Amino acid sequence: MNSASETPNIVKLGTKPPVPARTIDPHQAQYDPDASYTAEETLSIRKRQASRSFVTGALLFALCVMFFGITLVKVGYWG
Amino acid sequence: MTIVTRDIILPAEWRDFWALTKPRVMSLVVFTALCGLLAAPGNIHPMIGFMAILCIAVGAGASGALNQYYEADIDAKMARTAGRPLPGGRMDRQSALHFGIGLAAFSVVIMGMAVNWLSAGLLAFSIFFYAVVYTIWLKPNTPQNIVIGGAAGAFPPVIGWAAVTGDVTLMPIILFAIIFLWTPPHFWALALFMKADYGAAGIPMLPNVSGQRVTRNQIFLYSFPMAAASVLPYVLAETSWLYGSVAAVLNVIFIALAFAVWRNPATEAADMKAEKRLFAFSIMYLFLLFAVFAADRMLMI
Repeated sequence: MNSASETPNIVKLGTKPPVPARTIDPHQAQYDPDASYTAEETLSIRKRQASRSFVTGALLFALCVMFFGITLVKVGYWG
Repeated sequence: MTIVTRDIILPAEWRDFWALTKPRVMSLVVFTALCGLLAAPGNIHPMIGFMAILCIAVGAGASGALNQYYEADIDAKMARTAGRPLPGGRMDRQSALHFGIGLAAFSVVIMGMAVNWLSAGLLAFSIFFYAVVYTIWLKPNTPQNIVIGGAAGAFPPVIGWAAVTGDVTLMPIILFAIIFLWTPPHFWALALFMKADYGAAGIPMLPNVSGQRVTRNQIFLYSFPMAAASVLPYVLAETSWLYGSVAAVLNVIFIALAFAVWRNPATEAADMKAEKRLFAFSIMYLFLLFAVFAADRMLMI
């Protein structure tokens, strides 16, 4: 629980904080989901996330089918 | 360390994760593992066989991802590898590490549960050998890195064989020896015409440490035990004349190309046509040798 002396975070609605200039070391850098992005950048991020989600889903589906097949083989139902 | 200034960091694409698994290396691993699996005596259900190959492929991908995680700084200094996801700034290191560990754990556990625990143990050891013994210990410290490190790439046919039979006999050990002895001339041919790249990255490859003359001598010398190992299956009557004759022809070409490398006095990469020819042929050599080996064994069985 917050103590009374803690200063609450102040967020001004309707204003967008400026994107800070960042010098990035590619070996340490991480995608920051809380950072500010322009509409174009956000669209690009959403596209990447959508394609990753699709590939992950397809892989998981393929794995489900394969595990089902292996189970059938292991219990002697298939071959 | 290379500092790159970029405006934004986007999340990595799935293609970057795919590139992290070194797909081209994986294709050779999958192929040799499949040959080991097809050549092994005994039967394996196609579904289990497919799962075994998939696990070997995923394990190879894990090794590649962990290798790229550790070598991001080195990769950034070499033209050949600077475009990879980590040095290219398209992915953060932590994602690569998590991806590599995840793939490794997945491949070993599924291999153990679906196939057998001997092949799972061999797979786990080969991942460990490549990611830790070769990448962290051997590669940055000794010019013999690819001699000992070649063992990592030699495991797949043994794992494929063990997936079928549940044990490791003389034949898979010979397959291991063929790849193990093939690795030094293959990589040293590459190291000769990529000497500047390896030098810039500070990797102690043989041409950079002992010189090009010594490397050419070693390439030529290594081609003989490699050729001897490759005809062993025929000598031990484990294959027919088909494999024996193809192996003999491939070995004659390999040794002739290695001889051309030995004679070549070139010091500049642009003049190293013999080295490039040997490197290109060595890939075809291994593909053909293992394909004919598997086909011959299947016809015999």
